[in-house]
Amino acid sequence: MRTYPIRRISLLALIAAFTAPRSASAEMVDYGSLQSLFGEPVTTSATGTPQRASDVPANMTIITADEIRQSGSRNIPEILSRVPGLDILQDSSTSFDVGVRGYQQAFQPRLLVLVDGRQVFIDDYSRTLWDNIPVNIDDIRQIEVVKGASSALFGSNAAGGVINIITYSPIYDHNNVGSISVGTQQTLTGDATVTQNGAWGGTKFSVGGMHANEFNTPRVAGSDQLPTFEPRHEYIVNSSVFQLTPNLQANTEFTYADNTDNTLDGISYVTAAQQNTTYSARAGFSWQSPYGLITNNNYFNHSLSNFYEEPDGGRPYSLWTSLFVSQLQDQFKSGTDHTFRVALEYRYKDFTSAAAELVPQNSDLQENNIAASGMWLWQMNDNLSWTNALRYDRQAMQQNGTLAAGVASPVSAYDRAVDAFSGNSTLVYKVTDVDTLRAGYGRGVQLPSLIQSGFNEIFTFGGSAEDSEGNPKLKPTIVEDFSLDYDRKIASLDSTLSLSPFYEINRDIAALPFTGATQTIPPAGTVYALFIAENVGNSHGYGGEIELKGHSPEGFRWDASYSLAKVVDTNSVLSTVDYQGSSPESHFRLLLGYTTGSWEFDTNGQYVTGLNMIRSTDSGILALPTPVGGYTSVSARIGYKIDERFTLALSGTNLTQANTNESAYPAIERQLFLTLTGRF
Amino acid sequence: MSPVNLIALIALNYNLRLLMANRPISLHGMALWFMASIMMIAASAFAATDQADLAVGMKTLPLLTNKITGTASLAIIYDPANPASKEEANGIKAVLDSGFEAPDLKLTGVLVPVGDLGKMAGSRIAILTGGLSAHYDAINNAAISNSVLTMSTDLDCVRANKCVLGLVSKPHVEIYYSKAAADAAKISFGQVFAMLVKQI
Repeated sequence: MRTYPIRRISLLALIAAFTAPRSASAEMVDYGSLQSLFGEPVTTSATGTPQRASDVPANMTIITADEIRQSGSRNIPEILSRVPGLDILQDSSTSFDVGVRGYQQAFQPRLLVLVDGRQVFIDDYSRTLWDNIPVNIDDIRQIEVVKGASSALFGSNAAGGVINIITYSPIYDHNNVGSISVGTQQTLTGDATVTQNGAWGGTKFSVGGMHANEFNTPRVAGSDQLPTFEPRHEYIVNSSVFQLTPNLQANTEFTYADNTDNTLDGISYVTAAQQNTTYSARAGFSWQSPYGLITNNNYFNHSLSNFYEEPDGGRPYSLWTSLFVSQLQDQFKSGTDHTFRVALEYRYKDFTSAAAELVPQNSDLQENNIAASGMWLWQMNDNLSWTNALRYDRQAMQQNGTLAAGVASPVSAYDRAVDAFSGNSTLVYKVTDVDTLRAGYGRGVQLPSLIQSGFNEIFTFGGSAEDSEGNPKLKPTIVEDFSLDYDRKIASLDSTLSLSPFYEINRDIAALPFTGATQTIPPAGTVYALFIAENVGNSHGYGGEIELKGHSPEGFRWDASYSLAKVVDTNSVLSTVDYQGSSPESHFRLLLGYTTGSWEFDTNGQYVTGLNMIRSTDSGILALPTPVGGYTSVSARIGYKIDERFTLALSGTNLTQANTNESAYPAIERQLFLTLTGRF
Repeated sequence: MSPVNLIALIALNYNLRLLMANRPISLHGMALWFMASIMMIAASAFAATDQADLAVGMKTLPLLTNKITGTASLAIIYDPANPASKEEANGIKAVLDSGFEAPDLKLTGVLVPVGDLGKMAGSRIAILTGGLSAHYDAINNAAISNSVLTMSTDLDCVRANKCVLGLVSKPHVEIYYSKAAADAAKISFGQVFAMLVKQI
């Protein structure tokens, strides 16, 4: 493998950064007006260019604002639980992981999560801190869920899928809303959004917070952190769009969020208490130029996570992650049948960690990534379209810190670069006015996380002195998926029937430092056990989703689905990356709702088959598969519209039993909430 | 359902009944079906504008680069010599007069006979009834002079680059868009709009 001087790459990236426009979710897309015109949501999440939901060349589900309200949920993973093919792993009152088509995992690295095009996925473990996302649930216009490899469009974090959360626009929408919610576990939640707009543009402030008691369900002594933190979060967001000329908009966004929760630690398979602080700043513009719609998106994310773990003696270890992204994109039509998108992207990441080490180190990993991508949509005729996307990534890394003598990967081992290609090709055939067929192939690239590449700590864990190291020589995980989707509108049932079989291959799966294969092999000349990140093998999965979804003029709505995800790991060596055991094979869902007058009634019943999930039971040293039976969960909401402004809702989750064992980790308690929402 | 479609359906039903009764299709049944089919083909590119079509047309207005807000008059261009055109124009006017609401816009309908296109002055939007193909050029020239956004359910007008927007509301909303006609009339939609419609 060749190595590249990091400064040269930085210069190229800097040029991209300062010539750059903003992503597909740029404010030029007036989602509200377009949805009103076409009678269906419009999205940019499939190709980067705006498309009607019925035209997208991807398996996509769009959760609308009405569906979010009717779910009664005050957190995003619970809202996502209604989507066939997604599995929600909840391990405390506010900590979740979301799996796509099997491949469920703590600190899920395969699913990229964005808010209005800005990554809220944290690059340390490559994970999403769902309760730290700075967004008001009442300010979400729609949540777009793409299943399947999407890294040709969104980059290496989108190997398994993408969730793009679209909020109401500061310039096109007038969303002024406030809500307060009280509930069991002494839960108190408040959120508010205020929007001001005019010919000059618009600005929006969202602010919110939550506090609750953690579930009081049994925890494993010695492995699970006690005492737990009381779950809480606070956030504030300001986003603005300035209409500089009829064809030019500039935009800014600033966010801050802080939360504490008790989470499943995907590195040691114990539950940890954690506190996370994130903030971000963004600026960009959208220009309807003679050369197409040019968009620019530049943002800086920073996160700090402090972990507290029982086997670690309750002392904290801290992770600092900084990310700078600059994107430049041009979308244009050529003739009447061809749409193109070309884009450049630069990413800079910096990662440091700190803990009370036996041998002090000062690891500081930097990564520079430049990428070029393109998309071509050919509308071959009124009924047939073909979409192709390709992306090239070059990622260079460098270790700027100091490491202990004798570590497996010395500083010089980090001077290297990785090249990777990802792509998608999809045919969409509208067989009749009511039948649509999609056939697609995707190749996704999942680059190693910062922890996998460059974590370096020598410390005592569970009474054992150990050297826990990332591995700069890790190969990217390659995800290939083949999918076939068939949608049929059934007018007699006021419904749409969807069938979506898939087959997926994962090559060179990368494990975290604690979960690699060469555990307990001491490096020469040391007295520590070495835990090093490694590529541990392959996996393939197959299955599909079948869904019947509709609503009647009388006010009834329904969504019945079954999803199957059979994962077969073929890891060549022992590893605790265990997709096969951690993913439920079958998932049944039945959502029913009815609106009459000022009342809304909704229920969401689910049955999920059992797991054989990795769990540490002896101070975090040895993690073993732990069988968990299948479970049923029911959530419901009753909403009453008091007048044109105020709505009162009673909602609850896990209603059928006091405690539900959904995973090998602490059980989930029943929760009830009373929420008053006002719109002005 | 239009009268032409109704005739074709009656003819089809009549012929099917004959077939199911093992009776040969009669000559006048065939003739009726044939004539209706010819009429359907001739009318296929045009369906009389109804409230749903009008709603689709008005929902495009927020997507103009230079938005139309407040109050505006909508010119309803028709051919007084063509009863179907006149009837359609009156239907559109009736919809507008009945309290039809457009996004952020109060609309007033103005009937404009095709022989008196000077009455378009002051209107920023015009909707064409069917049966005006002989007058496409004159209407287009008037629209260009007054920078008027023209729209119609007569898709041939858009295909001829004489109308800016062609409107289809059933079974799915489709918008046909002539950029040439838009450019000529100095009407500008955003590029996002152009990516979502069928551009001529």
